[in-house]
Order: sequence, then structure tokens, then C-alpha cells
Amino acid sequence: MKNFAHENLALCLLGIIPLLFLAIFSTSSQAQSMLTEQRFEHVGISVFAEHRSLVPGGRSTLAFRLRHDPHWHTYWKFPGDSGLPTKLKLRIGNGEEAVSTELQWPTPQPIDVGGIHNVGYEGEVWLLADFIVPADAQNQLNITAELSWLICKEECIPGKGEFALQLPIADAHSIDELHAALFAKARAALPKAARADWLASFAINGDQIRFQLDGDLAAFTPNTSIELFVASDTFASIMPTAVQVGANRLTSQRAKHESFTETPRELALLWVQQNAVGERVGYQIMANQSRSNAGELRADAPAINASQSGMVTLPMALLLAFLGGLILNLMPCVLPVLSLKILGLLEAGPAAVRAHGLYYSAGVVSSFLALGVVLLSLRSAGQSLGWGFQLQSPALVAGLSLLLFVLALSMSGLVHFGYGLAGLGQSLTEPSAQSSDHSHARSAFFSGVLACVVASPCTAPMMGTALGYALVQPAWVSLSVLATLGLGLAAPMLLLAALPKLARFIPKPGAWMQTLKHALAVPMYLSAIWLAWVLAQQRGVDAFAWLLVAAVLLALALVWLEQMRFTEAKLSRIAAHALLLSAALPMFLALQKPDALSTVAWQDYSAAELSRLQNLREPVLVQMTAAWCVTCKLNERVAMSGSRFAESLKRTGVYALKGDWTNQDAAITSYLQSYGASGVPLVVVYARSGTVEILPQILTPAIVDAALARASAP
Amino acid sequence: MMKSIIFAAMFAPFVAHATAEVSKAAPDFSVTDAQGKARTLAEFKGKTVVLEWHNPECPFVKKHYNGSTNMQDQQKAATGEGVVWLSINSGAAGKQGAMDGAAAIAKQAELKASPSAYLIDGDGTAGQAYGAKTTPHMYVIDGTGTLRYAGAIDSNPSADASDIKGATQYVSQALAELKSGKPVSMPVTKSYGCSVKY
Repeated sequence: MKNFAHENLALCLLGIIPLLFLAIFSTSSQAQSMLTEQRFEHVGISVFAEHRSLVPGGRSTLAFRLRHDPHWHTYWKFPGDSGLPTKLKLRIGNGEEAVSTELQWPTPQPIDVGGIHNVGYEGEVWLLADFIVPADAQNQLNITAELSWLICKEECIPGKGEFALQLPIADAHSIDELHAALFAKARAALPKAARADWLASFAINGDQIRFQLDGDLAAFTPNTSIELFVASDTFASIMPTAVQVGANRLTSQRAKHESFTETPRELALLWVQQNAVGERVGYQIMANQSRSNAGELRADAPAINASQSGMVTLPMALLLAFLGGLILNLMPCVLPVLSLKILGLLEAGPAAVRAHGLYYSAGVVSSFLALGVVLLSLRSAGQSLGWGFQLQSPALVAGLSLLLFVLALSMSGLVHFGYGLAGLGQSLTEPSAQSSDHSHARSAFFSGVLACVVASPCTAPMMGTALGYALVQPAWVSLSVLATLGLGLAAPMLLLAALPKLARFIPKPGAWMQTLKHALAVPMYLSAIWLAWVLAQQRGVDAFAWLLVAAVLLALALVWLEQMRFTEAKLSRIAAHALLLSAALPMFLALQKPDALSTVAWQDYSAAELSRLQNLREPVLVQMTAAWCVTCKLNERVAMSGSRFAESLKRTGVYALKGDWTNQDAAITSYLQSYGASGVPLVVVYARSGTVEILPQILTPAIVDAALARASAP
Repeated sequence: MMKSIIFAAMFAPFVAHATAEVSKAAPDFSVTDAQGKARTLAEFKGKTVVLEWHNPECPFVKKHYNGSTNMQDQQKAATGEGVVWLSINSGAAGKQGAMDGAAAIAKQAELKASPSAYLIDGDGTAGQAYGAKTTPHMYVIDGTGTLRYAGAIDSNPSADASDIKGATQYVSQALAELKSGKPVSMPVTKSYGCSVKY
């Protein structure tokens, strides 16, 4: 450690000696692990080395501290509409060439200069750069750092500085303790790595791009706005847009950049929030293009603006939840159930009204609580779920659709329960006079559960805000909001229970009730259709068709059983039950995951996209198909779907374009004609080399694989 | 609150797209030149027009005017072939590089610049219509009034004149391609430079 004394002396002096001496020092052979601040126009720069001695072949880091004059800024790696990123060239050792070196960029901030949007740094910023010590380094390593930057307020000044450091080569790396805290601070300002279970994506919809982050967002503080930075100057508009905070989801939409030319395969996103002490904390994550969420917001995430959710307080959320629950009673799927419940009560007699109301309410509230507990525990297990999560399950949607259909059949008077279908039976909607008190209580409780179940598809207007709020709060708050929602839904029955005299205002039971029931069946049928439509969105038109088949079988079996209600035809009854059970088969088929077609990233065919890809000399496969073309579907199923095809595409880098000729389409017709084809299927492969190959009418995986391999060959 | 969010959401795409788009009609403008004469894009119908956003104080502009004569050379070459070259200054009065007519004439003489006209767009209407973000920011419009190029002067974003050598000069390239009837190979690039001082 012969340099020890010199070094300490140097460090002591460095703190106080003026720049003049510094210049002398830096050109001397003195070991030098720090350069005090040098002033340039509107910025002062100092340089620090992390180690006081280096080992040959080792890795070390330099830190550049830029202190900007007030209102002056330098730029991020992606500076935005104007400006230039700060650049570094390092010359390591004597005589070597200066090499462009990647800087590690701290979390930046948006900078708006008169409507021109930039991204950069004001105040104090630390830029880090790693370097490798040459394996043959001896005695002392000379490092020259050439830093160049553009500093702007409104006007801009390019700056350049050369900084020379000398570090001794030793047997062991030794950290410079004096700098350790500075490096820790510099590293703390870098964007943090995203959680492994986060998923970032972007989707292009016309001239808009939607960015999305899914996962457990506990890292972000609720009710504090979040900013998005996109690591590209030419993909999305630089103008900041609001980040919407949903349940386990951040989204932000931007216009395409006016210099947008092509979609990157992936790009980094930076989601940034200020912490309690005003530091900007960023999380960086690579995002891939997503085709699945290109549409609107899905029903699951009640997206709320962060600043808007900031205004929701607990009492307000509770009020909104109560009103939302109240409004739920008017929804087409709930109103019939509620009306029948009330009418049933009248038949049961005024004495039972109070108990019924209470049991019913208990049923509603406990179902909402149960849903809440399930949701919260799934979320804490890391699942990315929002309110309405139950409806993301196609099985539940299909089941609900059939349930509503069967309830509607019963209201239409085609089916009477109580025979054969226990559980769903009369106990739910029509407690009859001869039932025991106990079964009355149970039926009231379960009609509360039913009300909650049938209500769940209908998101009342005010529920979104309350639920969005509830889900980012501690569990007890979430659950009390949900319980209040249940109370709102149960309110009409509770009111009747509290004031049984109100029942007097309801007309006396009579034949009109039958007519009313028939009328109320209509919204139930419509709700069933709506859920079937939802299933079609989730699982496709095949699933929709299978659901309808299940509904037909179910109706047939139930009506048959209804006709046999007073007969003793045992065999027929068994047959009818078998028919009833057979409805499970189409249900099963409806709920099959669509085959792996969706794993292949087909892009929609357009002549413009094809010529763009050809201009880029990218290999392309174009498939022309139609829903009614059996050969096309067979080809697709056998040879152009599934993991083999997907991997083959990935390996060869071939772009897959699909044109759908199910409906008339002049562009596709003219494409077909240009290849002398009068119809579909037509599969054409454009090779990187420029050759064009028309594939045979009947395809096998081997044919397609071989064609893709030929296409990707240079 | 909600209303204003909806309002903003409705108009956000609108605002973001108030810019000129390549292969669409270039926005017309009426801007006074340094001599005080109103100039419009329409008056140059039939001719290829180059628009150059200019701010004499901007280091990126100086790179091409003072550190080199790249811009003057390109102006001379283009106008020599019948191309109309319009330098436009969209700096608001009082901001860096903003000039009145007399100052502009003097500055142009000092720089030995020879555009067809020097337009003073002090209220920034032409700049906003084209979405000009930087100085320089270049546009090429063909004889039918269609925008054919928008973006940077060249392919090397820096303020250092020594970087001009080896850079692709996008405007010269686009003009040559247009002249020979070819499609512009790089129709859109990201412009670089100082912000336009609106």
C-alpha cells in the first residue's frame, strides 16, 4: 500500500484545491479516483470511481454527477420531441481508442417546453457507467471519459467535457469507502427491476397505443398518480397521458408518434411514481405486443383515474356501494327474482314477512362477503383479478346463462320446480304455504344467495367507483364496502321486514300474478342471451352454439318432466333425466378452450402491411381463409395452429398474415385473383430472398415447416 | 371532474394529430416573408417545396449553417433545380432566434443562405399546422401538394458539424428520388434539434 499516503493526501487536498491545481493533478501520475466539480455552461460535473484500486480483468463503475442550473435540463436516453441524450466515450488504458459506453439512466422526469415534450433531468442527476479493466493492466490505469451533452432551458447549448482518472492496479479490488454512499445513492435513483410476476404489454388500435401492466401492484402507492415513460422516441407520442389504475392493472393510452414507422417486437416501459419523500421511483419492464387486449377495457377492471380515486373516501364509497346495490334491484336479471320473492311472501302471509326479509338479507350480504373473501384471497395469492372476476370464468358465465334460462322457463309456467330438481327447487323462488318454518328460512336465505348470483353480471352505475376503491384498500374496508353493497341490494326486503304494513300497498294475490310472472320472464330470457353473448366473446362462436344446444336439451328434458309430473311412467322419467344430464355434454364442449389457434400471432392481412414487410425483406406467410371453407379450417387446424406451428414461426422469424374472406372483401378477392385463385384456401409464402411460393391446397405440418424454413433462408 | 376526463379523452387523439402526415395533402398556410409579403403553399402548386424550420441561434442549426455549409449547399442545389425552399422561423417574439424582417434579411446575408423565401411565423400557426418540433425540422412537398417527407435533415442526430460527413442527407435523397419518379425511401424520420420556441 505504498500509495496510501499519497492518496489520502490527494483526497484531502481535492476537497479544497481550486480547479487550477486539479488540472495539474489530473495530468500527473497521481492516483486519482475523483474529480471535483468542473463548471461548464449551466452545469457542474464531477466524476467518481467506485474503487480505489482495480484488479486486471475486473469490472468497476464510474459515476458522473451533473448539477444543473435551475430550469436547465439534460436528456434521458430517449429525449422525446427535441434534445439529445447525454453520451459517454471511455478510453481505458493508454493509446486505446475511446469507445462509446452505455450509461445507466436514472428514472427521468417529463419536461415540457412550450408544448414540445421531452424527457430528462433537472437539478442533480447521477449517471453511472461500467467498464472492464484490461487483463494486461499494470501499475496504474488511465481512464479518460469524454462526456457530451445537450443542456437546454428553452435555448440549448451543447457541452463536452473530458475527465481523466488514474487508478492503481492491485491484487484486490478495494472499494472507495468515501464513495460508497454516493454510489448507493446513484444506484437508488436507477429504475428498479419489475417483479417477476408482472406482465407488460402494448396493443395498437388504429392510431392509438394502449400500454398495460398487469400484476400485483402493491409496489405502487394508492391514490398517487403514476407516470409512464416509453423507451422509444418514435413509437408513442411523448406527451404524457394519465395512467389509469385498475385492480391489479395499470393502463395508459397514447397516440402513435408522428414518426411511427414500425412496431417494435418489444420495448421497455418505465412506470414511475413519487414516494412519500418526493423521490421518483421507477419500475422498468419489457413489454411485448399483445393481440388479446387490443379491444376496449375488459369488464373486469373498473378502471378509475388515479386522481379520481383519490377523492373517494370510505363514507363516500359506502354510500356509493349502498346506492349501487339499491340500483342493482332494477337490473333485468334481478328485478324478476325480487318481484317473485315479494309476491311469494304475500302468498305466505304477513306473519312470515319479517323473518323472510331478514333471512333474505342475510343471504345477500353473506354471498357478497363470500365473493369478497374469495376475491381477496385469490388476489393475495398473486392472481391478477378485479371485481367481476367470477364472470371471467366461462364456466360460470355459461352456468349463469342456463340458470337464468331455466328460471325464465319456470316463470313462463313451462316448468314447475319441486319435482326432481332439488336445490334449485321451489324453495328458491316459490316457498309454498305447506313448507315448514325451517325450510322457509332456508328458502329465504337461498333466494338472497340467488339474488347475489344473478346480480353479479349487472354492474350498476355507481358500483365501479366504490369497488375500484374497495379493492385497493385493506381487507376490512373491502369487505365492508361489499357488505354495504349487499345491504343495498337487500334494502327493499329489509324495508318490508321493518315495516310489514307496507305489504298492504301491494295488490292482493290473484290471477294477475301469473300474467306478471310471464311478463317478468322476458327480461330473464334476455339476460340469459346476454350471458351467452359474453361466452361467445370469451370462447368464440363455437362455444356459443354448444351453449344453445345445452339450453335446448335442458328445455326439452324439463318440459318432458313437467308433462310427466302426474304420471307414473317410470321408464320415461328415467329417459327424461338422462336427457337432462345429456345437456352436460354440449356444456362440456362449450367450455373447451379454443384450440391453440390463438397462440399464433396472426396479423390481419392488408396489402400495405404485406408490401411493408416485403420492403423490409422479411419472410411472410399469407393465409386466405373463410369460416365456411372446410378445407381452410382443416388446413389451419392440422398445419397452421398449435405449438409446432407457433414455434416454427418464431424460429424462422416468418410473419403470419391472415385474410378472412368469410364476408365479401374486395382487397382479398383481388389478392386471390392475382394468384389465379378463384377462392380460398390460398396460402402463399414470401421468402426473404424474394421468391414467392404457393403452398398446396391440402397442407401437413411438414409441408408448412419446410416452406417456412425455405422462406427464412437468406 | 368526470366530464372533463371524458372531454379530454374525446379530444386527446384530435390534438395529438394536428400534424402533417406523409402521403396526405400538406396543410396550406399564409405566412409573411421577411420582405413583408404574404406567402402561401398554394402559390407554389406544381413545384416541389422544401420547408425548413429555422432558428439561427440553435446549435443544431448552426451545425449545418456555421460549422459547415451543409444547409446553404442544399438550398443552392435544390433551388438550382427549380425546387422552392422556404425557411420558416416559428419563434415567438422575444424568444431565442426570433427575428423581424430586417433582422432576418441581415442574418440570411451573413449566413450566405439562399432559400426562395424566409417566412416569419411569429404566432407559430404554420409550425403547429405541420407539427414542427425542432430546428431544423424538414418537410418536402411534391407538386401536387402532397407531403412526401417529414423529419430530420440527416441521419446523425448531433450538434457536431464533424458528424455531417457520413450521414445520409434525407432531404437531398428525397428530392433526388422525387425527381426520378421513385418513391421516397425514407418518408418519415425523427427530427432532431432544439425545440421550436413557440
